[in-house]
Amino acid sequence: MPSNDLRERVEPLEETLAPPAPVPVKRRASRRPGVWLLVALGLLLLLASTIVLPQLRLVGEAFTDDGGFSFANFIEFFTTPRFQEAILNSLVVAVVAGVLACAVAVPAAYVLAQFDLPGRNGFLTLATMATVSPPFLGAYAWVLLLGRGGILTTQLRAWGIELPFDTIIGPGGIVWVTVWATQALVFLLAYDAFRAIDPSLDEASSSVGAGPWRTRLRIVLPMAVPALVTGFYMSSMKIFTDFGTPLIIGGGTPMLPTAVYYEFLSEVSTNPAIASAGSLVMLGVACIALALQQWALRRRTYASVSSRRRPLQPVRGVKKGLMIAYLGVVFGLSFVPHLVVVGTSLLTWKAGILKWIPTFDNYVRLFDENLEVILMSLLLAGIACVLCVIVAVLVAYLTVRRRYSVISPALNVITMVPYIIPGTVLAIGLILAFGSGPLILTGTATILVLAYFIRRIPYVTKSIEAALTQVHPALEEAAMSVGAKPMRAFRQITVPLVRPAIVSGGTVGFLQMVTELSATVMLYSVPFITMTVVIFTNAMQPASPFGVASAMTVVLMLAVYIPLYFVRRKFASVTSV
Amino acid sequence: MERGNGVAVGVEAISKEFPGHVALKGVDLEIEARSFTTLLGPSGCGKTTLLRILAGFETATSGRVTFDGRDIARMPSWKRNIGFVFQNYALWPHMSIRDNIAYGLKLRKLGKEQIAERVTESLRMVGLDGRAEAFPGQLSGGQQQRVAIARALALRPNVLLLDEPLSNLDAKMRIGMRQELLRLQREVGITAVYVTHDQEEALEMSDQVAVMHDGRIDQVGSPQAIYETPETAFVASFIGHVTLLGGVSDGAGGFRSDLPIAGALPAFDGALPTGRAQLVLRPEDLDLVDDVEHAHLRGTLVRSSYHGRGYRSALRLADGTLCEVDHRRPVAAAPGEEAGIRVGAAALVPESDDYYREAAPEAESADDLVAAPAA
Amino acid sequence: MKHGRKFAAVGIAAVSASLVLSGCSAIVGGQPAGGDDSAESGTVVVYAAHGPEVTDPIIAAFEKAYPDISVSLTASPGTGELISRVESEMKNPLGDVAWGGSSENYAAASDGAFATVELENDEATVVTDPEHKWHATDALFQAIAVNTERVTDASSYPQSFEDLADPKWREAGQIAFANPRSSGTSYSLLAAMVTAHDWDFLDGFLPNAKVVDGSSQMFDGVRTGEYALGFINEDLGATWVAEGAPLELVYPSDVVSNQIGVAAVIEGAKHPKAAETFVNYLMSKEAQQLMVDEVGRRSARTDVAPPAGLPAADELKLAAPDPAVFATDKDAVLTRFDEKLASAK
Repeated sequence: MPSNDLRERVEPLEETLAPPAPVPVKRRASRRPGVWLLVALGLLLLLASTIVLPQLRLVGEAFTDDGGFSFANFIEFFTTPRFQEAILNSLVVAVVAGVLACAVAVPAAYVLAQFDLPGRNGFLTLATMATVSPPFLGAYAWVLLLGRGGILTTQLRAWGIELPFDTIIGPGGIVWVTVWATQALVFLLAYDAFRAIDPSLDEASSSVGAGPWRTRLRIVLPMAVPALVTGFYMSSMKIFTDFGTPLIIGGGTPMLPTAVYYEFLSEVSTNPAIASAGSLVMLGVACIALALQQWALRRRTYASVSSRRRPLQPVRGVKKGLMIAYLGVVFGLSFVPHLVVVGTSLLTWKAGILKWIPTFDNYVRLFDENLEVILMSLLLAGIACVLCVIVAVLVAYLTVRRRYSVISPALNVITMVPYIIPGTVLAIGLILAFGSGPLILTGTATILVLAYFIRRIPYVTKSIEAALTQVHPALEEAAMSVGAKPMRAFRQITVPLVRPAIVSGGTVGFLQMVTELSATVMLYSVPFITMTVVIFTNAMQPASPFGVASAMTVVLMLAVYIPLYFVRRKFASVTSV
Repeated sequence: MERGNGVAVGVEAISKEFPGHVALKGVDLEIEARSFTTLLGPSGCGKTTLLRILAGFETATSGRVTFDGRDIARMPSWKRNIGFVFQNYALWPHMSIRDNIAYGLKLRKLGKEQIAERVTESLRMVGLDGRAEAFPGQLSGGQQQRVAIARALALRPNVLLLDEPLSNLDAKMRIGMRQELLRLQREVGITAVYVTHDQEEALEMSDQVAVMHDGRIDQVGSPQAIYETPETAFVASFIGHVTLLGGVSDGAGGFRSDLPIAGALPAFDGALPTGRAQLVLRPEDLDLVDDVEHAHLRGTLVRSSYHGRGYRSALRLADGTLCEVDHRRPVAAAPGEEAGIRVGAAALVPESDDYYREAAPEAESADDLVAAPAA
Repeated sequence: MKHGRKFAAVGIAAVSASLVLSGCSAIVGGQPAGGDDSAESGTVVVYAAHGPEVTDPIIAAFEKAYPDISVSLTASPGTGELISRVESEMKNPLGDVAWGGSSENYAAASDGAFATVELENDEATVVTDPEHKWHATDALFQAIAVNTERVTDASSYPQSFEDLADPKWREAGQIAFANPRSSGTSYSLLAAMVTAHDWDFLDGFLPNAKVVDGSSQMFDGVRTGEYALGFINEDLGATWVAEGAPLELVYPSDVVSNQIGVAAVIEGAKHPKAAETFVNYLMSKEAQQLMVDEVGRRSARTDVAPPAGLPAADELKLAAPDPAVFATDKDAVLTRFDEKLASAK
């Protein structure tokens, strides 16, 4: 220890010999500021200028009427029948979809976690793959199959089978698509939870005379509640903020995201003030949902310290068959959009009409024109993903470990803001903030990177935060005790320990960035064209060449699943955020 | 390893407030260089907080911490040159044993060869040569704890701080590790501060024991002093089984018990001022006699059991106190019958558990205490 | 150490890659005005609300006619998004031309979004913007679309808006009608029907209608048989009929809604001269003939005949809603529509 260092830090203390604390010399019990405080301030500045500032217009417009501060827009929003209807529909659909996604996924997860079934790894891989669904075309696929004039509907009718419904279009269709698009998320969470339950808990239950069903309902299910709460929250919030699915399959059912979207961007008549108020209402609902989720979790944190791996129970005969069949159905339905897209990419489309003529033309056309687009997509998402992970790790660390009284909660809240802002609205905010003034980013690739970064920062941060709470603070203190400065201890001890979460959070973030559409279409400019833009421009009009869009979607899925496969192989369980 | 880089540690008027509670209420402690000092107390007494303040993981609200007389209260832990051994070992699971030990050495910019040498030496000291390439997850709890100790010692720190390092080990290993730890400490010549709630551990290992209670140190002294002449009822009752009998001290070494005691008691060490006091009786200082008439105390036998080298019996005294007595010969009385107790040695402590606190300058005088409605 | 360096390296790589990308983009997207702009050469950045079926043939022909001007195409999801983008970029416009959407959309855009330019070919079009902001590129009429698998009896096909208010359609199937809040096409239809009849006409029509989001859903819905009836842009309807879709197009006898499709030069465009060349080209006889032949859409020029199979404009009773009501106070119109819709339920 260099002694000059020591002397610098010795401060004269007047009352060194005071008896047991009559008048203690008050010293601030500050945690050492140093590097981390600077990092925190830097992050606050970065996130405030990229997330909050561009969206301030939203808040401003929402609370302004006739040039002055007012709640008039909110009052109008809540008293207009079409918004009332939209709020109600959105809430009901979100809750129903969330419940059904859990109802579908939890038994599947239980069966796979509890019983020795063949193809376990296959199902787990499928589940991870299913967390990424084809952007934009997923709902189309279901309409194509099960609309009133859909391929399946017509075929079944030809065979004399009547479906219990005329068409999938309608609120039921929104729920249906959402359930199959989100169940995999719930499945993975629930599976991990079931696997982590200490086997002695159910043994204890049966030792006091509880039958297997009683044990399942009273012991095992409650242990998985945190996973269920999180899964439910994510499913319901996904549809609560989704714009594309209700538009395509809702059959005109008024929903909050579509209503708000059209107030912002209708080609007929817009009212940005009402739209802003509506966005803030959505933000409010999402915040309440988040608070409820956190509250529900806080009341149920079971420290299940399992020393034994949970054994898999053998099962055979009809029971085994039924279980596999159930898993097959669940994942089969989740992959319907993927399969439809693959199918339609190999068929001829004329003026937007599907012809049953097999062809490779779609791919030929795609690769003629759009090869560099694939690289561009991966590059943009890759850069955004790295930035996102770096910032997310720092923010998560600051909120979990260093609870600066104002800065940490502020960071926590700011990173959650993008969760609820529709991509298009976010894009407009970015154009207004960075389209003029000191920093011009419009027309650059940077603005796309920024948009991806902002849109995914909530998800990545949450997943790393979760992992960080599992790392004991003593590990970092141990490093400091052997002489590592805080930043070094963070880099060399904490970061490597949460590396699996960084990899999985980063992977999922990357996948979602590659499939991002709504902000991209507002922000992209030649030559920064992404795969989603190509999909979109080839599907935007009713007479568009859907085959090319399908082919590009297939390519996109491959570009997404190949890295996912390797990451999964390296890190056994890539659970989603 | 060269000897004697241990420093003297001073703790002066250290207080620590957390939001909602006060963990330390003005603690003073002097720790000699190269000594082994134990902070002993029940959970929540502030012992771990004090240790973490010594380590620099926490900053004291007020007071001074000195190493060889220099105030280090504001010095961050990574500059203090300490070794810290955690209750849960805190080995870095992503590093091999070698890397765990070498980490701090690399930070000190030691040469490659020197690092390798020190790692080997440290591992040999804790008896784990040959396991350098293993990962923490592959070792048993005891081995992990040795690695944690090796990691701390490899740096040749000024002070070794240990936070209940043996509490996660099984009983047999715990006892073996005590001597090993002590041997290492002596060998290296380091100042060690050891936190535990296990009084046996404290007595066996320490040069000096500080008994902590409710954010304060009740008594500091050698294990013998702590055991034989406890200064407070808390210290007396925390160390071993004791029976406490209330009474009044006459200020001159005499004691009048509330419960009639026949005959004269042996002399007590030290003197208490006049006032309420308690007699501390340890089972091994008592004997059971059939001759009730010549006993100091009498009571009803509740139970008696044999435990190898003798018997331990419990008697219900007249005021309802249960008194435990160790004796070599079997007892003649049956449970429910009367038996006598002879006192071989005893200590006297101020009655109130809070005496220490109230004896501070602004507190009431001892005379006031006598006036309190007692017996 | 090892990890630390990697950590830092990745960060630096990310930041520098990002900088390189933005550097590139500055070269591509941010050329100084006039730098390489002329009427005959340079680049023109086109924001389009058209799909490739419209943009591809016409841009290909343009690039052949003006080999020194390269077109950089950016597609927008719809006219609303297109105009929003232009408006939000007003302080630093990145596009040169906006193409697609109706004259009403462009007329309603913020002041300063589109440049006032008089072009040579303006005179040849059926209608000219008195403010010289938008320039007509096509004309679009809507027909009633009948799904012949859902409505099998040809004699019962509706011939007019009036017929659509017939209570029999409440049972026979639904009439797809895009919400006029989100669809400009539907807004024209609404204007046409209440002009030809009156607002009370909706009391008969709306109970038969299924209000959907967006015109694409309306068009697709009729084609696939999701709805028995609906409205469709005639060019798309004719293409689909030609491709064998089970559709029959009927031009309502009482009134036919219509829009003028337009393009505009963006105010403050970095390449104004090339932009003018491009927009002027869109109105040229050559481009208009392509619009007719390749896209199947009516030309905005008086001297180009409509696509084969589409009736001549003068055979139809074209709607001419009062701009004082339908252009200036859209909110009032839509609120009234909402009320009618609510009472129809």
